[in-house]
Amino acid sequence: MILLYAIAPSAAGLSVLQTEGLCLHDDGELAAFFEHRAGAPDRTMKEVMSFGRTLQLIWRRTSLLPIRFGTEVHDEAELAALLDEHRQEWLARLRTVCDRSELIVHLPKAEPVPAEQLPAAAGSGRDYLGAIAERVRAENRVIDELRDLLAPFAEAERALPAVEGPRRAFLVANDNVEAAESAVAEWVDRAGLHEVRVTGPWPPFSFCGEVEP
Amino acid sequence: MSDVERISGGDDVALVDLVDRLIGGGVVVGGDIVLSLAGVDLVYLGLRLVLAPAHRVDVAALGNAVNRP
Repeated sequence: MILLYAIAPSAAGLSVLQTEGLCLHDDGELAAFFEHRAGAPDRTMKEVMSFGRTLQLIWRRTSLLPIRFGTEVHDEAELAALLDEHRQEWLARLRTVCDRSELIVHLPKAEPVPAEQLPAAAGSGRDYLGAIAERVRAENRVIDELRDLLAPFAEAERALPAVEGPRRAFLVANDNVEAAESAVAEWVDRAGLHEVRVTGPWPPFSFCGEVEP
Repeated sequence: MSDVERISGGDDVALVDLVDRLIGGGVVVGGDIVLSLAGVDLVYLGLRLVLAPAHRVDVAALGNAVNRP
């Protein structure tokens, strides 16, 4: 069984990554990083983190499309067929993410409107829904501010599943990562949004062409 | 310092993002996810990173958020 890690553009020098079990299948256009396994990887946090570390190691060397953890094929013949099947799609995606990183921004969840600020008829269903709508609008205003702030740096954006508050992923050229992080840090200080957190730079997990739910 | 190193140092937010993206992002060819930690099966939910013992999760209520491909 083969566990897939990433697809990268074929390039000289990738073979240096073939260490400690990591293998490379290079067909001249696409290169796939994989590992031979006796069976499917354990679905453990330890395995997921190990997978993440290997992916970061590859990503330091080349632009890539990360493969979702747990993706397996039987053998290299099946891997070759997979590359053939998705060749044009993956080459196009690689052009989109080449020399770019993903930054993830966690935004604060808007606080509910305090009861004393609700209209006199508070408690009615209408007021309740109105308070929720205002909360959503407040979150959207912060998202819009962030989007405007990162517009000079970000080439694409994805909404990610919320954690505590809204979460957005931005695709940023590697050369612009520090500037984008600084812009967010200045905005956080200026606006007093101290719950905002930025993580990354990550491989472009959210920009591989899949539509997130 | 890389994010993986920060995670080793206890950065929970980065850990959430990394795990979430490793099992919820990237190129999808197939597969499903059930994680286990210390021998207890855990279920990953799509809307937010919640790792809960599988036997406590109401799968019917979660719909296709559980074990999404």
